Amino acid sequence: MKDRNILKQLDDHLAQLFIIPGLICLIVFVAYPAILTIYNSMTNLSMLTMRATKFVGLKNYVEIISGEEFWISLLNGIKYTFYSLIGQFFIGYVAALSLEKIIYCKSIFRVMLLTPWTFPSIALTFLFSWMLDPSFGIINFILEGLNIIDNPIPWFGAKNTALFSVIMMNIWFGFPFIMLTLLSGFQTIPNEYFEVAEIEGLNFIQKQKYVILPNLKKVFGVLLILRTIWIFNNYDFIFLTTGGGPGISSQTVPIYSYITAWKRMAMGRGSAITILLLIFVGLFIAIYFKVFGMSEKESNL
Amino acid sequence: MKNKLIVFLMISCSLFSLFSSGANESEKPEKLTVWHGYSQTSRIDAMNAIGQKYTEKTGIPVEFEVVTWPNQAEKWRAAYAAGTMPDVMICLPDQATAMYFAGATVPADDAIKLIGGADRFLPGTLKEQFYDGHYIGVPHYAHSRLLIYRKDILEQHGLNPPKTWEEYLNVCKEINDPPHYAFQQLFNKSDYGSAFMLDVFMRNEGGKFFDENFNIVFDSPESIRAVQFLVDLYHIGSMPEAMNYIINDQFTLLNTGATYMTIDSAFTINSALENAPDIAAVMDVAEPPYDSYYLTTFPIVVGNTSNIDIANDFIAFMFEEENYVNFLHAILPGMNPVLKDIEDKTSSYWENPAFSNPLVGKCVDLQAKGLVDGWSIGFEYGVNPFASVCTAGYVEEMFQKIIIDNVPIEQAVAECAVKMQQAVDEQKEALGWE
Repeated sequence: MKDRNILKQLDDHLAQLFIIPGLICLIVFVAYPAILTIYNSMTNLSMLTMRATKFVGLKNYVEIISGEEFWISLLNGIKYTFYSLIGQFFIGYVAALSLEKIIYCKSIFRVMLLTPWTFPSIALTFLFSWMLDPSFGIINFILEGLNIIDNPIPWFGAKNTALFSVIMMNIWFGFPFIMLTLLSGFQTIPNEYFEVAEIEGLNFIQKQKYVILPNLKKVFGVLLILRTIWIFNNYDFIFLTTGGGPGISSQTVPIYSYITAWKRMAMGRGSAITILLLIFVGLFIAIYFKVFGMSEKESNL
Repeated sequence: MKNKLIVFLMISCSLFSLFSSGANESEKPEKLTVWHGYSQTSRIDAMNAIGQKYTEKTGIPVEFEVVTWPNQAEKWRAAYAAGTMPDVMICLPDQATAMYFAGATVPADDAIKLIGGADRFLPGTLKEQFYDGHYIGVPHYAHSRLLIYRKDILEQHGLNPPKTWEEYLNVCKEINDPPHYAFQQLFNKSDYGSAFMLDVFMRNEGGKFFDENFNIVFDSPESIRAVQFLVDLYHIGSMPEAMNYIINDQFTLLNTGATYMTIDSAFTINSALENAPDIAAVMDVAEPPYDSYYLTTFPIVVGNTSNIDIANDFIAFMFEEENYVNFLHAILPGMNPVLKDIEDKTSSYWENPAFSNPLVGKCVDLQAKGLVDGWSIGFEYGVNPFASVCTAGYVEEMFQKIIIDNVPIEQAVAECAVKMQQAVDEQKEALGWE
């Protein structure tokens, strides 16, 4: 009787038990650093002495929000995320559709199209820096050869092209992930839907609109949330190619935070920037969830 | 009773020998951790060879980690915060002082003594290591900046190497021939190429980053003239809108013939000799067109760890003639010795076959001139913890604003000075300085 009670108790609380290891990891690796960062953001912590001598309250936040550098960095981050997402989703979707149609050498094409995603960011940035170099880069060489440009363009170095070039690089890097996830999504759509679409005589566009897109809505939602977080927080691509320049024309919030905390040694202010970044990313995600939460209610109805 | 006494003594002796041997074991560290910024294979190999020899001699394994110069600032701070500072680190002078003031390193006085005392070092090479009666680090090697130019291009235009900045500007104007440029300005914010160049020009104009109280005086008329000069130089002889070049890109630009001149250390010549012999054959060096040489020493610092004595011993081992000369030969020309006896023409340093090329010896001799009078960026008034403000990207950002956003020079300089002063004030506050 007693044993049965213990087993029942265990059964009732098994879910909670399984959560404990995850919870411990969350507290140690997420909650503690987050709380420490919040605390640091309210101090004058300097990287020169590695200690804070004063609690400054919200002073760091006020200074950041009242300066234009933060807002320009935020706007750059939004542009970088938005255009990268559009490019990655468009190319990823087209590539996934093409791979669905291809009959021969499917695996070879799949591996080839997946290659960009396997590049380490340092190798990728070196590759693009060389290809786009104004003195010896192949892109300028080709464009000059085709008489499209008169003089070589410093793609990563000029104000008008720096952010655009990083976005192009990010699109090239990120589309395979979208492609692969959507390809998996296609497999979950029942064949009957396509057969009905054929019988109804739907054209290509109509098939996308009435069959594929509605069935992949949740996949798109998850992809959108993940890629938004990853791209908005992305640091290495921009830092290794443009360094946030020229001026601050390609500087995003993570770069601004890094420069403030590590190069200017104001870790307190740098921490405040990361907390603001967290708030903004959280806001975007909340909006996405709200949109997808509403759609779920609609579908339940 | 007697037996008991004998047994007691035997046990005592055994325990004593056991604990004393244990104590000896615990004194010997498991390994010695050394960080350095040497990313070239030849220098990595040279360091590894020294480490191997040290292990053979002492039985202590030496573990090396390459931490490139621009990454050192964040890496040591993260390590210090985590309690994983290396036992020995070879870094840039501004980082050596920053580490010292943060308590991440300890004085290197014992290492200097083991090497043979301060008198063994060349005059000038220790001045950036000495603070408040102690040596912050031991200079591993030194170099100063030279005028490096393509003699074939200058000859084609009937020009001599420039001796003044006005002449330099004129030469740039004459030889600039897009897509081949006279000179490449280095404006990338993640590096400090502009700050170095500006420092050189400011010295010539009489401008400085700091006054004697370590307040920013960068917005002086002299500094503004220097900024104006660099902007003019950019418009006359540098690739338009190319804002993201870093210091190391200079090698590639010169080696591919994309640029014709630079103000840099003899590493540039070494890179050409190794990678572009055709270009190296038409290169030459001369004294830079300014009075004050630009010195860079590369200090070896002792981490505030439990292996301080071993670290000092290892540093002294690095300076034993065979080890030191082999290291210096890893990049020749480029690294000048800091020890008098090694710089002496009778030492084994001069026995390397590379000296059969007169350009190599010329580079070493010219660089040696800068060791006495030169100083590093931010060290106008000696060792201080604020020098790293000069290389924190403010200067590069200022130039980008002037060139890209057409901000008037006076305004950009003033804004930059305010930001730098704010950074200095914050650091003074953190250090408890008035």
